[in-house]
This record gives sequence, structure tokens and C-alpha cells, in this order.
Amino acid sequence: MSNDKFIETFKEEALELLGSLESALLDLEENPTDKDLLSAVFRVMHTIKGSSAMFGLDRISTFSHEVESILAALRDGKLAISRGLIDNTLIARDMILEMLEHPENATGALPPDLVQFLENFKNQTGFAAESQASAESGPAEAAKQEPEKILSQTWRIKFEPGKDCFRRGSNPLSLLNELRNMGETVCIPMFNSVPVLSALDPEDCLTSWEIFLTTTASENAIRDVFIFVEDFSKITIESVELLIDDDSAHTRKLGEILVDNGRLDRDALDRILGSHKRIGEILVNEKLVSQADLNVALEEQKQFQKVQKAKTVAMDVSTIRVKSEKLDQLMLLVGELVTVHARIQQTSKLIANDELESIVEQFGRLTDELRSNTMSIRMVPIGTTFSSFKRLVRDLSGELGKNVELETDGGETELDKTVIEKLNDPLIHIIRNSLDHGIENPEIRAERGKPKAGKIRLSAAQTGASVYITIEDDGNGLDRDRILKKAIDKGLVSPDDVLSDQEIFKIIFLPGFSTKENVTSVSGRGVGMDVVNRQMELINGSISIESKEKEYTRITLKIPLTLAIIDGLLVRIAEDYFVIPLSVVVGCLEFIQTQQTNENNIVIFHDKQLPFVNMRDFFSIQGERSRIEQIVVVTIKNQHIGILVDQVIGGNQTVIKPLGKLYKQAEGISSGTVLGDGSVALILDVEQIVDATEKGWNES
Amino acid sequence: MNDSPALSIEYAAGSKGLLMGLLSGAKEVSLDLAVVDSVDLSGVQLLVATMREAAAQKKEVHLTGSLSASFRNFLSLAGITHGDCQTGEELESALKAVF
Repeated sequence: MSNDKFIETFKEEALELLGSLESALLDLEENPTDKDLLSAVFRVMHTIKGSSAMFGLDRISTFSHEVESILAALRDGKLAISRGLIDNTLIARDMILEMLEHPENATGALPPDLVQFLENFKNQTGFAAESQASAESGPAEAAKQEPEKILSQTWRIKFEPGKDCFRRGSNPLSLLNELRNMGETVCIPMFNSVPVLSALDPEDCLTSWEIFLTTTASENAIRDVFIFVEDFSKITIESVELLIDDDSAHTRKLGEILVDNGRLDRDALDRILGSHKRIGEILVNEKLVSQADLNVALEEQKQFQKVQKAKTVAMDVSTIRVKSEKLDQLMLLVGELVTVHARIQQTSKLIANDELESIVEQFGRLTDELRSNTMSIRMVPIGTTFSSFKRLVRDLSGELGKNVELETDGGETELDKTVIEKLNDPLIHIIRNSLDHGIENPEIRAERGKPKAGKIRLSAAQTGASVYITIEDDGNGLDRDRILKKAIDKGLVSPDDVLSDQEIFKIIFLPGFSTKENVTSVSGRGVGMDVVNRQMELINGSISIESKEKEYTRITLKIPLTLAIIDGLLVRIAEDYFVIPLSVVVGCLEFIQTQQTNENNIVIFHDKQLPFVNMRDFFSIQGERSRIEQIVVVTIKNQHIGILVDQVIGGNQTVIKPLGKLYKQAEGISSGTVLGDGSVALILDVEQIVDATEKGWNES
Repeated sequence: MNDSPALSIEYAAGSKGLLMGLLSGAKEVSLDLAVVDSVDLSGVQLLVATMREAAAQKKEVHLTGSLSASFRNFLSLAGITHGDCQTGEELESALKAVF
């Protein structure tokens, strides 16, 4: 490997490190006492310093050394975490990124602007006087801390002293103190057993504790603390790491923790999950869970997340870096294999040999397994994308003079890598819009009795083959009348059109539409939200909006899990085969033309009128219609519509193949696939078919 | 509470009687904790039980006064507060939060 290649590898790693540095810094701002986060920030800077020096990128190395010195002083408690410090460290991170992207600027002495920046940084944080001394001691101390970090483990201890504890002369607090000396602790007292005063025996000990202890000490050492009280007390000690199921990549949800701990009924949880409020708040309001139990569960969730994060870092050690093109290539090959399997299966049916059929069946199972494994490799958690928005919100809210918090949930939800890449731009546009149009100025928020800080909530959840991403802000809400007026002024809708709220809200996604009078650097030009629409179309996603004026706006994006292989329904029209994505199919029904009582394309389905599209007419396919045809009922934009075909063949694992440029304009077709016999089937774009047909109906 | 500078196990039985008496005589009771210079777990249990009793009788109990350093230290050791609780009012909301 040449030196250039080494530098390229270093650059890749450094970019990843800088990505994690950004999110760690933003987390640190929220949790200034979290020593792990502080160490993580310090380690990143230390690693970048060391590696860049190794590759001769001395400007990066000198610069990061200076920043590392400030971070060392911070870690040693000589400096306090402030917004200024986080701001400057974020700027320093951007400067390193800039140098990395232009390696010609990464060597030589520090230029005057960087020197000036460092001087300001040191002055602002009060570091200036002791920078030299801290710089020398920093790395050595970091190295000293490493082994301790690797060995430490988090324990959940339930300590319920016996009622007789006071009478026996024991003081439970001294035990808590001993635990504190063993490591980092969080002790949560529980007074659940303390009765009303008239029923209280004041000499009974009725308090218990839930304790989370992160320590290098062994379980036995922890047990020893309780040696004198264990006879008359209840003590459970569990490793939080063991409590996390190795197979589950997801973080435990608050509701699950409460149900698992026996503090909440499963039915009650399911009911509450139906609403959109924060679960903890509702449970306490409805008196299903006490505030104390909720506090314990919240702490448990925090500890679980901490351990899970540490585990993920540990797991990274045993991972290898693979170029994403290689994964795309692998997926392509698996797609070919699925197609070849379908062909072999079809051929084996013609030969009718039992032994061959059993081999083909086994081949099918292996292909399926390989397919789902390959797809799982391509799945990445959306959390990384979410955390990149924290910086966006922080910087933009500062620019706009607003105080906005970004809350994220469901970051562990996984999506195909290609889908996630395509989601970045739409999410940026929606969040920018929420910040600029949605969240009000602090004065208006105060007038409306809302908390000073606006909130944008970004969440993801998987349901079936789709992932729902919700972006919600507690700001202005959408002004239905203003949007409608502007749309009429711009000629986008006619004044006579009768539109539902949902249809009016969706106007904001049309190109060139903006209700904002003034264009700012953040939004108002009317480009942006149409990007959301276009990208959603590209990935077969859909958008829905809910909003209440002066209260909230909630935009939900429904996205398919993957774009490479879908479950489809194979149908035949004349001699040609087509695939309808199974995700939109509701059911099938038989259609006999001779029994049709009306001239319109309408049948009765589930006691309701169902309009249908005759695909022979749509694609101008000649030939005689079959006596018995079939209607595939699909759901598009929350309404049912029928697709009339000659025959429904059945389910099909559809490997999506893009069509050539010639077919770009072909209405009603999104892509193609190869069937088992080697022939091509076209995949129907049902939404386009419905839109074009509706347009035709309206015109006629 | 002026008569009991210590809210601890030695005086627990007496304190209970005193608190019951106070509750039976008034709809609203204020306990000035500024005079309490020593406290232990039984004392805090007494406060929690008093608040529960008051709630059951549809009465109100309020904790007031600035807490002594040893009181604050005890609360922090027990995990009830995190060193940021200075007054009886703050302790009252901390205890209500873990009710």
C-alpha cells in the first residue's frame, strides 16, 4: 500500500471519528457531568493527533494537540463545560474536517487564522495560563484511565433492608456510602412501603433502594458490602450487560422495562402506546405507575443505553470495513441467484424428478437465507442520521435567535443503506422548515403559554415492511387558510376546489410554494419541501401531515425497508406478466364482465363502490378479454381502487431491475424484474396508474 | 416542630405523636425544618408518612425553612436529592416526586 492509500484510510477513519466527536460534544453539552462522554471526546482528539502525526499531516497534528490540551484541562476539572467551550470545540472539529478534505492544507506550520482561533479559544475558556502544562500531562493520564474503563461493569442492585434494620442497629446509608466508594453510583430511594402516619411504626425501616453501580469490582465484592444485613434484607445484584439480550440490537423502551419489572400491566401499556404523548407522562397522570417507579425505569433505561453504547464500541473491534459498492455488488448477485433459483424450480417441475425437486427446495431455502442475510448487512440504524441533525438544530436555532431542543427516538430502527442516504436531504428540509416556520419566537411562545424552548421531535419506528419517520414540532402549526389563499393566488388550485385539510397541507410540498413573505437564508424560497416530495417518490415513500394551528405540526414519512427486493403479486394481462407491489394490495376478487350491471368501471367490494382500472385499456393491450377476469384491490392515498387483470398468478420475490432511459416516460411502470423462465415482468407503479386514470375521469 | 431539634430514631415515637396531634388540630400544617439539626432515615419516613396521612385526610402539609448542612448532606447520601436541595419547600417537591 502506498503512503497515499494509508492517508486515504486514515482520512476515512478520521471522518468517522469526527462524526462521533460532533454527537459526543452535543451530548456532553446536555450531560456536562458524564465522564464517559468527556473521555470519548478527549480520546477522539488524542487519536486524531497521533494518527495525523504518523502520516506527516503535521498541521492537523499540531492543531489537534492544542485542542486536546484544552480538553485535558476540562477532563481534569480545571475548566468547566460552557456553551462557548462546546462552540469552539465544534468549530475546531470543522477546521480539522476542512484540513482533512484538502490534504494540501494539512501540512506545514499553523496559519495565522488557526493560531488566532486557538488563542481566542484558550482565552475564552480561561485555559491560556496553563496550556503548556496540561498539554504534556493529558495523553499520559488518558492512557492511565483506559484499562479501568475496559474492566468496569454496570450493576443493578435492589436493596430492601429488613423492617428490623434500625432495631438491629444497622444503618443502610453506610452501605450506600460503601458502594459509592466502589465506583460511579446512582441511588434511587423508594418509599412505596411507607404507610400513612397513623399506621406507621416509626422504628420500622420501610425504605428500599434501586442502585446502579458502575465499577471494576466483582459481584462478590459488591455482595460483601451487604454481608452484615443479608440475613434480614432482600438483595438482588444483576449485571446490566447480562440483562441486555445479545440478539436484540434495540434499546429497551421505557414501557418494556416497566412491564418486565412487574410495575405495569401489559394491556395498559398497549392502550397507552396508541396515543402520541410521552409514555411516562401519561402513565403517571393516569396513576398507572408512581413517579418513583418511573424514575427508576428512566434511570434503568439510561444505564442500559450506556452499557449498550459501550457494547457497540466493543463490538466495533471485531468488525471490518467494507466498501459500500461491494455490498451493492453482493446484493446484485443475490438478486441474480434468486432469479436463477426461480428458473431451476420451474424447470425441475417439468422434469418431475423427486430427487431433483428436493435439491431445488434446499437450494431455495439457502437462497432465502442468503438473501435475508445480505439484506441485513445493508441495514443500518437511522440513529447516525438523526444525531447529525443535532448540530443543524443547534446552529440554526442560534442563527434564528430561537431556543430549540431536538429530541430523537427510535434511532435503533434499521433501514437499507440506500434508503437512509436518500432520506438525509428531505429530513434536513423538513427540520429547517420546522425551525424557521414552525417554532415561534420566544416572545410569541411566552404569549401562547408555551415553554421557552421549542421542541422538535424526530422519531422512527418499524411496522411490517415499512418504517415511519415522524418529525413533529410544537410550534405555529400550519395555517390552513393562508396556504389555500396562496395556492389559489398562485393558480395551484382553483377557488372552487373542495379540498380536505390533508390535501391543503400537502400543497406545501409543491415546487415553488412558500407562504413566507421574506426569504431568509434558512427557508422561504419555496424550494426544499418539493425536494421532500421528489425524494419520497424515488424511494416509493409517502407523506402525511397532521397539524393544529398554534399547537403543532406532525409530518410522517412512510418508507419501504428496502429498495432491492420486494414482495410482489404476479399477474397476467394477455400474454404479458406484471408485478404489483404486495405492500399496496388489499385483496383480490373475481370479475365476470357478462354479469356487470353498469357501464362504468365500478364493482361492489365490502359493501362499498370500488372503481377499477382496466389494465388492457390503460396499456392499450389488444385481444379478446377472458370470460372470468380478476380485480386486485389496492390502497393508494388511503382509498381503495381496483386493478383489472386477466389472471392473478401469485406471490413473487421480486428483484427490482431498473429500466432503460427509453422507458422513463412510460406511464404506470416503475421498473422491471426477471421471472423464473427468464422472461421479463414489468413492475406497476400503482400510484401513477391511479393518478393518470383519475385525471382521465375528471377530464371526461 | 420547634421542640424536636432531631428528627431521628431516638425521638421517632415522640415525633410521630407530635405530628399526629398537629394534623388532627388543623387543615393545613407547616413544618419548619430550619430548626432540625439532625436527621436520619426514620425521620424522613416520618415526613413521607405525614404527607401521606395529610393527603388521605384531604389536608395539607408544607415543609419550610432552610435546611442545615447536615440535613442536606443526609438527603444527598440517601439519594433523595442531589445536593441541590436548600429549603423545606424544595424537599417537599423532591419527596412528592418519589411518592
